[in-house]
Amino acid sequence: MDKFYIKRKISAALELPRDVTLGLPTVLMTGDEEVVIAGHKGLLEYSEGFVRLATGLGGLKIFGINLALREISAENVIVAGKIHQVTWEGN
Amino acid sequence: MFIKIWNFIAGYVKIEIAGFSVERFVSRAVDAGLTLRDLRRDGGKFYTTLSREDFLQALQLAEKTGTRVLPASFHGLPVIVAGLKKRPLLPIGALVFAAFMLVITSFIWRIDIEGAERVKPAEILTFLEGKGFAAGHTRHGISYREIENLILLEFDDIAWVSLSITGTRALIQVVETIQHSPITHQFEGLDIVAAKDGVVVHMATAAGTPLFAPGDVVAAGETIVTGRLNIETAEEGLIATRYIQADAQVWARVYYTMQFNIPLTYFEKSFTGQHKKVYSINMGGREFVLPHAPHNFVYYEAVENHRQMAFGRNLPMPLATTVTTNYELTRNLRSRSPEAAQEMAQELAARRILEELGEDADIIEKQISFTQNYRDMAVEVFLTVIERIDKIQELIPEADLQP
Repeated sequence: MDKFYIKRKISAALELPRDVTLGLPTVLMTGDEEVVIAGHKGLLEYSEGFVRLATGLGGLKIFGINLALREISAENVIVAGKIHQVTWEGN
Repeated sequence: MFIKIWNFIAGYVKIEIAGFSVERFVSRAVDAGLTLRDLRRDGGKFYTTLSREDFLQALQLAEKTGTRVLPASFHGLPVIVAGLKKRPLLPIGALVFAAFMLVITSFIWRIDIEGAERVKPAEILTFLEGKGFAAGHTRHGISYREIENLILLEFDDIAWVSLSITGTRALIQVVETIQHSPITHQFEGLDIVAAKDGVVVHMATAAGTPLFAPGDVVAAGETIVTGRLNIETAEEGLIATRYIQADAQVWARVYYTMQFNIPLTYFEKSFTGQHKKVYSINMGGREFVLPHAPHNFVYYEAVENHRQMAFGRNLPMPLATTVTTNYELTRNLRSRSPEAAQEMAQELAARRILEELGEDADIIEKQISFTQNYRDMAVEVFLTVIERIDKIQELIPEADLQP
């Protein structure tokens, strides 16, 4: 039984927020115009059509057109532009 | 929104990032607690915005990550303040101007009156000036109610008044009373008298006893229709006298005579095209003429263009400019032929008739006679006009006339 599995079970039993206890990222999309990622672990790649972020769950890929990082801080990344696809690496 | 305002106040830097691993620089900057905004990629270069404090830290991080950070431009309030430090007179001037505007807009510089027809606005202004409320009065400490009451008490023809002050303009709106009828006492008798001399042409009597008939000559002031009713019987004679309000419309032929002279010589003016302007500033009732070279025109015509300075409709200033343009002209003595003088007399007569009798005058006869003198043409205009001459006059009972 790994550590992550135990944490998940405890969080579920105690109804604790998993993004805090498990360090999972939160992704909030506003239409196809903006994606807010809270709990990221850094920027891996960035171009006008592609953004790749490191998260607690692995890499998060965002595909689109005219992508810009409206804000990037230790807590949040706000990616704005025409969003086409958001996928997790390895899935 | 608040972040943008704060960034403006604190100042921000737009930077250009170039190098092999910009993403690494961004991640390191974020880890270090920096916040990057509007990160965009344009070809191989990256552009972003960060605060002035973060900018110094970003320079150090750039060295470690092998990237180059170049400040593209500085923005925000600190940049504006730094710019103003180089030109100290500008903020001082702005402050002086602001203080001047603050002082100048704390006074009333124009008082407008709306709704006054029978009462002349100038009368109200003169009255208020006598009470200490005039252009130049401070806006503060004005008792609106007191001023309104003063106007109401002074002018009987004003039924309602409202004072409002917007900017440096005071607006007094008044509503006048319904005009009093000349009939002040309902039970008093009235006569219809002649307003002018004339020959009665037509009468329409609704009440009262006519004393004249069509064809009669009446003099101004004579009673045409009386409101006095004598009740008589054949046996006893006059029993009683009753007074009623006579009501009649009386048309009469009225004769007018006009006399004037048309000179047979005159000066013809012609402009030479030369003109000189004189500028003056009116401030607080005083006029300051700006330095100017005096003109040497023998004959000239001056045209004044007066303009009050104002910021919009409600913020007139106690400052006005007057531009006086003096146009040079020459005067040449010309003679006028008798025919031209007669033609001119006709035009002048028509204008005077219009002025004195109005457009609706029913002129049934017009005669103009000319007498040529050495220097001028004497003109006499004789008019016959049919017009109403009835006028209401209070009837004074005979008993009251007796001592």
